[in-house]
Amino acid sequence: MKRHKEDAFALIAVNCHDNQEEFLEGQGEIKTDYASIFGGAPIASDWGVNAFPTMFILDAEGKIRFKGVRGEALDEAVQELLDELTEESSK
Amino acid sequence: MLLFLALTLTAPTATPVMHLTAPFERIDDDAAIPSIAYEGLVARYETAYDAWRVELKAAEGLKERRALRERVPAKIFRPHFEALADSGSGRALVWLIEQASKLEKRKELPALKEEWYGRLFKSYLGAEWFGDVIAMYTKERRDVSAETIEAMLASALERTEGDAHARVLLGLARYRLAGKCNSGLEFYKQLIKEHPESSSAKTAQREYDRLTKFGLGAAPPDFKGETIDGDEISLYANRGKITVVDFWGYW
Repeated sequence: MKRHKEDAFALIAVNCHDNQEEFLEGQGEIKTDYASIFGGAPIASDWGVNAFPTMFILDAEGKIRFKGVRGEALDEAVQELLDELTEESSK
Repeated sequence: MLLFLALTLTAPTATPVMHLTAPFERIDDDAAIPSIAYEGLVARYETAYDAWRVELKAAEGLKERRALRERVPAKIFRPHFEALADSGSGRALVWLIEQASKLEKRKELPALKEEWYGRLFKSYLGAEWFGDVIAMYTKERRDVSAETIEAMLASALERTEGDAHARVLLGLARYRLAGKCNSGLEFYKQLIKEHPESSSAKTAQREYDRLTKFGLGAAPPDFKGETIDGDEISLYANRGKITVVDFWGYW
């Protein structure tokens, strides 16, 4: 995923850890190049997340296209959607 | 060991099971039976079970362990729960079903469960705990056929109203979806439409939303959150990009 530093890709990490302070202490300073938000427990509940980590991949129109993919499958899914986007914009 | 046996022998007479004089074909819940009788029996069963577990752990040798397994507390308490069930306690029937595999051999279970579930669906559809029965029933795979489950639920739908009807609809929605059948969604919609005030409505709405707004192909609603730097991030701000939403946390 780190490869996709193009503008067409975004990653939002939703942290559902209860105690934000405790988490920060354990993690030290977090340096990330993606958005990481806290207090995600209610969002996770709405989205029906019951195991961590769970990834959803949304296309450019905001529709969920993949759910629960990891590792290689995740990379492939993201690539597939990026290709789709390139195709669309070249039409 | 003698002490253990004495405990279970005297236990039932200590708190007599109340026998009703009025006819009770259609008892809708345990209100007619003081729940204290059921609660009391369950408490004594659990004490006996804990004591039995301790004995089992301490047992030396295969012979002793086998002997103990023959005297599993569920078998000893069975007649008492059956008596309670005969007096009108639906929850005693539920206990019997839950313990069934401890009580009889595998091949006897279908007939046993048919009787107990039959009695539950006949007389206790209105009980506020009946949702648990439906959940248990729809998960049966070996001892109850799919056709029977379908027929029983269809009959239950026809015979209920209000909250009880909503509970059956919820059970059906989940059952259908577990079978990968999309008609499950229709039951959620029906429930929400016909019984918006019922205790099942909120649960149904939440489960329905999860499947429709957050299922594959759906565009979920926006959410916002704050980063550690205090910046506000929103999902919708990323429209036009391929967005990965990664939920993570610790138990």
